[in-house]
Amino acid sequence: MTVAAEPRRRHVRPRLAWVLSASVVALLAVMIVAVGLGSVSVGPAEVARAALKGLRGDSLQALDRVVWQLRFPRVVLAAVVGAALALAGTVFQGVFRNPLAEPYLIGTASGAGFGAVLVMSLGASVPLLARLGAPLVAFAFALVTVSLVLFLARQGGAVPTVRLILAGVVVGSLFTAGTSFLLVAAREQAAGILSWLLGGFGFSSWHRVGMMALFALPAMLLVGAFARALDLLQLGEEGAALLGLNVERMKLLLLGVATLVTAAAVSVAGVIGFVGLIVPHAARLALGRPHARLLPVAALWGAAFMVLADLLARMVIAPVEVPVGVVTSLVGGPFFLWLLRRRGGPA
Amino acid sequence: MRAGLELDGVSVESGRGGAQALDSVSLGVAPGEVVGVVGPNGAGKSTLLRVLTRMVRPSAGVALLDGVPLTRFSRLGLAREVALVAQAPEVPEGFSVREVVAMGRAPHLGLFGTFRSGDEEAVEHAMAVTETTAFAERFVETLSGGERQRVVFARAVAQEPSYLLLDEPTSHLDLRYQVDLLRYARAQAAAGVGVLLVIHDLNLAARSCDRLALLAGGAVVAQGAPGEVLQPGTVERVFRAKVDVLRHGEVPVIVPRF
Repeated sequence: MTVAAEPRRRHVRPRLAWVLSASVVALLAVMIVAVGLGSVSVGPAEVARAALKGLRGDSLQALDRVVWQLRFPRVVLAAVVGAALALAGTVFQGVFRNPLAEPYLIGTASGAGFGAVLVMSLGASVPLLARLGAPLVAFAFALVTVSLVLFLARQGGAVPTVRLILAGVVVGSLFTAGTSFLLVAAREQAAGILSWLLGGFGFSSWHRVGMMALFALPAMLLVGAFARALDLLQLGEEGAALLGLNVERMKLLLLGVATLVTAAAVSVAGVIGFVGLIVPHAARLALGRPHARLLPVAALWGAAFMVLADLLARMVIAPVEVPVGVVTSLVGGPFFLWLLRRRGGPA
Repeated sequence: MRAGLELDGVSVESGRGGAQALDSVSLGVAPGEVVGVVGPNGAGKSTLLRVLTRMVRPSAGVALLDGVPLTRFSRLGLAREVALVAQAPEVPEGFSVREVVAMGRAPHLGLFGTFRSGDEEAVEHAMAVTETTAFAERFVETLSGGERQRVVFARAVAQEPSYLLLDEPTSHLDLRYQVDLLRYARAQAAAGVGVLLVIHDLNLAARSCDRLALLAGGAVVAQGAPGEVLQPGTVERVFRAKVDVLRHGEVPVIVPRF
């Protein structure tokens, strides 16, 4: 079979197997480098040795301990959070059929931010809040916010997309206003709170990695299983329904899973912008739209991107750490603009 | 039980103060035949398709699929029986032709959408009968309008429905693509599918349909063989245009008079 001459480039896609294996190798390389670099740098061989010891549960010496108990969880957490946000972004862009949708669109981040700020500013006078801790309260507020948004957007049995986005924006800005108020009122803690809001992996631990993975892994499997439903949604809600999809139920399921995993990410690492926006976008430009291809690649790229961003965040003006959200925005913004100019418009 | 997809005395409120989009319409399509629905703009042709795909609920009457009310079907069950080629179908960027056609298999796949060999065959067959195999690997956004319409038709064929609904499938197409598309539709009918198409062009309708239903103001004005329905007096009254009706064998040919 011959294919007619094709006037536009990029018709034939790169092979998925090739892209996937290259992405896995790149991610592992980036992670090894990131574990090795820091105030004390170690080579790949020592990284591997510390990892082996840590996994076997051997007693660790000073350097191995730094590598295994501080840097490893930090890098792994960055990878999982990056993968989760990229996955959630892919789902949001797919469900809303809009390349500008991102995981925080329906209020997750503003809710979580408000919860965390509540703990940090009032924790001293309200012991219960302090005992629960910022991550848990942030998670709870994220869910409360999204539930509120869904409740407000409901119309009959359905949740129309435009109402959902409107409700998300309005409820989100209410919580953001609350956050700003607390921030101003908190005065001396304001800098600390702000740096949490902008995201970071300074408080990583294997415990947090476990917490995050608990949400991220099932979410990835579940969303991956419904990749074909995400494809059908690209035909429009009516088009998808005519092919037998229960559109409302699938929308809620996908957005629910994406929101849960986003809330988990926000609660362990703060509000890290741009990853959920640009990574899915870049993956789509490279691989086309079918979600069975898009989802795994976006997750891998999100992981690698976040590990790199965190590495930059702790290296550029070491020993001071830049909030990683600042790095992702500084790197992601221009990259996004470049994509926009190159293609003449988002795909 | 009667085989067929049909409306039985169906009325639909238009939402515009009292007027009805459909007014006690009874018509249907049986397996193996091509039925054309013609009529002026605003006659209710699109509403009729929306009732048959259960996107609109009738305010009176009932829509039946092989004798069973449509309301008894789940979305999935309905998608296995009825496929629609919409008038301006959304063809998302970033999918290859084969991937778009494969979406037609969705109603037949399990929960997680695993493709079996039968599904692959259905996709290949759908592309073969619509002559889209040659550009199977191209992105749909690189195709011409006519090619794209074929791809959407191929997706409906891959759906392996008992009834195929086409909403003005030939508008915006040049003669070659119009003829091709109607040829594919006839081939589907020959294979036992009931084909119902809404179509503007009376001559194409007369040439390609076994039966016609002429709709005006939400009601069926005439129904039957093309030669019976497209009488000069009826056409002039319904379309408010002066015409001559010639004959090409059995087939009526409408020629406007100025």
